Amino acid sequence: MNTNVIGEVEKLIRGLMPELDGKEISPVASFEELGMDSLTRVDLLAEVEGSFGIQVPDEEVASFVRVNDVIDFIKTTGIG
Amino acid sequence: MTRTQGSTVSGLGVYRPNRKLTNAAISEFTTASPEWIEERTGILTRHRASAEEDIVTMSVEAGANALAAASVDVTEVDLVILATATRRQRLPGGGPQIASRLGIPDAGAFDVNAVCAGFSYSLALASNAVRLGEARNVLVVGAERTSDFLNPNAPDSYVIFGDGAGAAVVSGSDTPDIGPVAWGSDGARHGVLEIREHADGKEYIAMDGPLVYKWSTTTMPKVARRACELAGVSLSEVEWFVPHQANRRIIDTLARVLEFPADRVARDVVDTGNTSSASVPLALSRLCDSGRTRPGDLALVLGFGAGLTYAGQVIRIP
Repeated sequence: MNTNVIGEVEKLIRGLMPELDGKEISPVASFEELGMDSLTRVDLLAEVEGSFGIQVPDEEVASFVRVNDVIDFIKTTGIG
Repeated sequence: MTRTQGSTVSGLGVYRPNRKLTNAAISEFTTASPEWIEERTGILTRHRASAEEDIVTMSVEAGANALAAASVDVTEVDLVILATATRRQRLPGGGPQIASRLGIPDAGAFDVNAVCAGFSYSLALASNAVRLGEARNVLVVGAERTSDFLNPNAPDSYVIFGDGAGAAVVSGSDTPDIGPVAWGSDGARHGVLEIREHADGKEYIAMDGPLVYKWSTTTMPKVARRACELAGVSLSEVEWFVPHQANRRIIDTLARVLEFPADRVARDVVDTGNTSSASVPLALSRLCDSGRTRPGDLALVLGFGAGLTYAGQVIRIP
């Protein structure tokens, strides 16, 4: 797996959630465990779209539960 | 009537229903706690109309206040536009009744349904009518009774929507104080925010909050910039941002993305909730009443929502 994708996704999460400074963000962590509500999760998806130049289909938006779900989605687009 | 160089918002007026509900009161009727409501939406109170406060009645009150603020006599009004999506009586429209109850003689009058973008759409039509010499003055009203369509089993929508009316008088001007409108739509996404009929015949607003949030926060920044471009100003020259008061999270995200100073963004939603087509004129009026604005200040008004549809323009504060 391209570690740049993992690093970029972590950077985007930390940008939205400064309260996670100093804490580990595991790829298997759920967004709920990270304290991220559904709207902040949407902010993350919007940041991912902008950063990677991809589009998240509407029907997929509710399916992202863990950090890995976002990483895996980026991988399926061929970008990561 | 003659064509004019420009158009201007010459007066604003509002009507907020008498009954005001706190989060504690609202949470008695649905599963959301007051803490969840405030965290998720930023809303503290909203108004709910009584049976007597129907859309035409609220519009007449707001309209009379706007005409008084503009110092425009009813005999000088040639067009009335009512923006509304929640008036149960489909036929006839409410516009002609607003005109007659205000004593406006024989004006053009019609209703516009562009939901939360309705006021900005109507403002654009009013501006065009004045500039073409089709009307000396236009009364534009956004009025809603969203509470007639709220499902207590759907807390996401139940807690955010409110009722009210906001009005503006649009008049001729030597200067283009109302910029060209940036408008558009995405009808393929109509399902994310719509009224649906249930098996028991009741009609309720159904909303996919995250999808509405995503569309609003990723699409509206481009529209905001487009409206500024059409008006020939840069975003940094705009002094006030008056977006549709959907919820505080959407407003804050838009302000952040546009890098708009937080203290120059209207947040009437905190007190008034989401009043669909009434939200922009209600927020604009409260901003002006705050004493922080000066006549002539540039403001970006931007409505967006169900349809999906949007419209925004740069105007000068009356």
